[in-house]
Amino acid sequence: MKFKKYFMIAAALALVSLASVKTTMAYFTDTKQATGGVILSLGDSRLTPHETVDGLVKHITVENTGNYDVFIRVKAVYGSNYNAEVAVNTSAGWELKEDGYYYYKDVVKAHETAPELQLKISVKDNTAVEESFNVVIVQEASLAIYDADGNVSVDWTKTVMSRSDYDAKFSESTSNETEGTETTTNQEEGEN
Amino acid sequence: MKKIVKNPLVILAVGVLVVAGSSVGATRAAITYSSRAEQVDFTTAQLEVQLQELQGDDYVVVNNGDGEADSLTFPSIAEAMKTNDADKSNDLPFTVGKTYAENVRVVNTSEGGYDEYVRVYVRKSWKDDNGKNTILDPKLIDLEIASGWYEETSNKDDDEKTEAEKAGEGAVYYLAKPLAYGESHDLIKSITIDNEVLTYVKTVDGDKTGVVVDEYQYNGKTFYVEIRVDAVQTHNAKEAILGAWGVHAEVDDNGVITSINEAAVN
Repeated sequence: MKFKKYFMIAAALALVSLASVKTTMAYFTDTKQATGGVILSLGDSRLTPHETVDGLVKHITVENTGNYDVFIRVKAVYGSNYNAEVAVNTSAGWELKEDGYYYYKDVVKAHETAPELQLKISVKDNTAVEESFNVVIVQEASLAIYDADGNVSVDWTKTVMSRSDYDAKFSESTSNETEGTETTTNQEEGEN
Repeated sequence: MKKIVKNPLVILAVGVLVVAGSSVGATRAAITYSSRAEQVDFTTAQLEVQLQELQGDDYVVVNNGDGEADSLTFPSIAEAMKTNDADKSNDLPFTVGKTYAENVRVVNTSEGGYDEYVRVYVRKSWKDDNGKNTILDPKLIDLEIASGWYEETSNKDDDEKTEAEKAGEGAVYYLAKPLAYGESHDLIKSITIDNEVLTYVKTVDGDKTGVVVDEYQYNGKTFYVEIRVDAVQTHNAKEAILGAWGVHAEVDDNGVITSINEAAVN
C-alpha cells in the first residue's frame, strides 16, 4: 500500500514536470513585415488651346497643361455658307470622323502639345458674306485608358455613374470628398 | 615497521593527508568541470526570414516594424512618375490600368543553415487622409503573386471566409516546399490598378458655363500594400506548424506540405 502511494506521488510529479517541459518547448519562428503605398491622382487634364489665323487658314494646337495623359478631338462650328477642310499635308495625325470631330490619333501626354491642325476655311457663296464671320473651335479631351500591357485606348462615350448610384456607393465618404477635381470634357472656345 | 604502525600519531597524519589530498582532487575536478562546461556552451539556431524588394539592380531588405515608416518603395512606379522637374507637382500621375513591375521576395537568412516553412499575409487597402477607407474596393489592387505559392482561401466556400477574405482585402499564401537556407522565393511580380477605378466618377458643373467637371472617387487615395512573412522550423514540422501558425498541416517524407486544414495543397 505504501508503495502504491509513493508511486502515485511520483507519477503526479512526473506529469507536472512533463507539462512544464512541454510549455517551454518553443518552436523556432520568425516574422517580418513590409508596407508601402502609392497615391493615386485621377482627374482630367486641362487643355490650353492656341489658335492663330492666317488668311483663311486656322492654325490650331492643343496643349495638355494637366497632369494626365489624354486623347483630344477638335470640332469646328460654322455656318452653312462655309466649309472647313484639313490641310492634309501639314496636319499629320489628325483625322475627321463621321461625327464632325477631328481626332488626333496619339495620346497627348501630360505637359505635351499635340501637333498643329490646320483648317482651311472656304466660303461657298461670296455674295452672302457679311463683314465678318465666326468659326468656333471646340476642343475636347478624354482620359487615356491603359491596359496591362501598356496599350492605350480611349472611350469618348465613357460611362459616368449616375449621381444616385455614385452617392449610394460612396455615401459614407461623401464628407471627405476631395476638392479641386479637374475638368474632363474640358471645352475651351476660341472665336475668330 | 611495527613501531610506525603502532604509533597512532602516524596513522592520524596519514589520515589527514589522505583526506586533504582527496579534497584537493575534488576541488580540482570541480574547476575542470566548470571550465569544460563553458567550452561546450552551444548557440541556438537563429531562424530568420527577410522580405526584399528589387530596387535598381539589387534586392534590398525592406522589413519594417509596427508603426515604422513604409518600406516598400515601388521603384518602377516611382521611375515612371518622375519628371526630373524640381517642381514635384509636375510629376506624372500613376497610370491606372498599366502593369508596373514590382518584385518582392522572401529569403531564408537563418543563422546555422536551417531550412524553414514560410507563409505570407498580403493585405491590400485604400487609404486617404483619415486612414483606411473601407468603402473603396481592395480587389481593384491587383498584385501578381509568383508561382509556387498556395493561396489558402482558394479552397474555401464563401461562408467559410473571413470578412477580409471576402472583400478581397487579404489573403494567406503558403510555400509548400521548405525554403532552404540562403535561398529566396519570389513573392510579388507586378502591380496593376484596375481600370474600373476610372468608372467611379460623376459629372458636376464646373465654375464656368459649358465646363463640366468629373469627380473621381479614387482621386487622391493611396493604394496600400502590407506584406507579413512568417517562418517556422522544419523539424517536427506538423507540431511546429500547428504550434506556431495554428493550422493543421500534413507533411510528406520530403518535407513538402501536402495539405493545410485538410485542404490539399497543390
